[in-house]
Amino acid sequence: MFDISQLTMIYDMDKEDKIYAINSVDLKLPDHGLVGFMGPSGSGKSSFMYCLSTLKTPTSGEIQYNSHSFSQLSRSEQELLRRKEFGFVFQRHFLIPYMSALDNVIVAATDKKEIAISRGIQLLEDFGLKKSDMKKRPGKLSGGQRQRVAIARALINCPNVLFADEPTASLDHTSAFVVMDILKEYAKQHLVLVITHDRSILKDADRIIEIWDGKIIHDQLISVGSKEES
Amino acid sequence: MKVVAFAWNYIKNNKHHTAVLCISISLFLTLLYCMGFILSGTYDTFHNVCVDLSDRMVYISSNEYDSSSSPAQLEAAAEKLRQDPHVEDAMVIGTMTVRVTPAIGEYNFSCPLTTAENIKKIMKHMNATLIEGDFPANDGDIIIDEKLCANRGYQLGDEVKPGYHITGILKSDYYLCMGINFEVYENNILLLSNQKNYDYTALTHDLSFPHSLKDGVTGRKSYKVDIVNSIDPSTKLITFCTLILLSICLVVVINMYIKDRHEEWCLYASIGYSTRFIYLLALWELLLTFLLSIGIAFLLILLGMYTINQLVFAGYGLLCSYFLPDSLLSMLGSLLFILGICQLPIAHSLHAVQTIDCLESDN
Repeated sequence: MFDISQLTMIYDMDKEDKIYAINSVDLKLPDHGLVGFMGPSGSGKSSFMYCLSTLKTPTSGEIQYNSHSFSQLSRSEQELLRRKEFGFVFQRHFLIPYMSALDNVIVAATDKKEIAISRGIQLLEDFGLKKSDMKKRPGKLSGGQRQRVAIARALINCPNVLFADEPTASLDHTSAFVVMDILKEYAKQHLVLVITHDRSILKDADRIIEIWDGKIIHDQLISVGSKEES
Repeated sequence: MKVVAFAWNYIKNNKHHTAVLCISISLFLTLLYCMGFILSGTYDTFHNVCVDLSDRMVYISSNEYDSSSSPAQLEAAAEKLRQDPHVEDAMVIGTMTVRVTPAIGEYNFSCPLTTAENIKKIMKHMNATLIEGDFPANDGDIIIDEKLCANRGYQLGDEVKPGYHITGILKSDYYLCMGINFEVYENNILLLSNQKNYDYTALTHDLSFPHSLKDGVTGRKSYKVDIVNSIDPSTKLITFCTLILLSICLVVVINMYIKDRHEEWCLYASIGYSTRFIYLLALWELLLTFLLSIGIAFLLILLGMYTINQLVFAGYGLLCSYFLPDSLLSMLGSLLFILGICQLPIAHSLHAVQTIDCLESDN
């Protein structure tokens, strides 16, 4: 699905001490599966994910998504890609405080309202939220519930790729594993990219990529009898 | 439209914020219209006296101390003028001055003192009917329109001028007052006109005595110069200052509200909504707020006009207009100005919209 070649992201280009957030990374990502990205703070994990999701423009290199190069997409085409093909789960849930849980889910929907509401309710029910909780505003929900609502929002359009940046950072262990179970289930037919510091939540990941100082130092495919490193 | 649904969702779920804006704008619109309504009590009353009355009753006044205008000459002039097709009738009369006092200012105008027969002709010409009291029969009997009565606080039997008492009350479209003359020198010719805004200067040009003319044309000039030009600048200044003050307050308030929306707008940008969508969202929220404000203002204006009419106009015999195109135009212009000025905080905030990755970096 993704073909990344010589991807580089440099901050503070004008200064003498340039910061290489991503340094000449080559990578191929499949159509489905749960891929975890690990590394210390400032290693470039988030920058890498944001470049893949068109939120950031790399300094150099190429990203191809289903054989379409990002560099050839206009801004509106990138927006359309994010709307229809990508889903986002952020470290902070970024739920809209004045909207109910259900409204927060369907805010990202591209379908007609009736279809979006139906799918939103289904998703929230699948994630364990009661109908009464769906009408509540984020302030009245627990941390775990909020993150599940954020995931439901990310999945409302059945995106081909789900980007999850530290999705369990603000959750307790129980809620964290519930969230990861949801992502793992979704990863059976779609590509789910997860950034995390917590290796334990990647126990079911299909692939773990370790990034250090903007370079991939370890690429481990977790499947029976097969390992691949870079 | 999705953007309208989004905007309505914000308004529905943020009633306090919306209420603050709605109430501010609706009070301002109500102020504009009610100010126009109060002023209409002045403008319409003056217009009736200066213009409408002058269109129907034209006065040619000679100098009473000028010996060249003898009663015979005036009568001959009236006879000649009577032949003109623009004149329904002409009569030599005396006059008395009556004052009308609207909400702002006051105006003195002439009223005929003549014979009972002429009074009947004038009443017929002005479509006036006697609704109370008696028709003038004796020297010094006065009949007066009910509006003028209310304005001056007159009742039947009151003395309007020494020797002149009210015997009857009229109902008409004008501030009429007339009576039977017994001692005023008759140095005026009253033309009963059937023309609107007709310039009688040419008709009276070759009169053999010096005179002054008061017709619809001079009445209009007087109305514009003495009334409109003196009240209008103050009204415009009040409107302008209030508008500027309100706009500044609204910009500050909207800026505060938009700052609260910054993360929300960044989220929209991140999940693929365009800047255009976010701008239209903000614009529709404003437009829906304006629509709500107009609805509230409409109700407040109705209440305001009813109250003002009961408290001020009806009891003082003042004329007023309920439909004020100028005020409506003023309201529309003000709304457009406010909408324009509110683009500043919106544009500033749109410029600051980032995607979530930048927000996370900032944090």
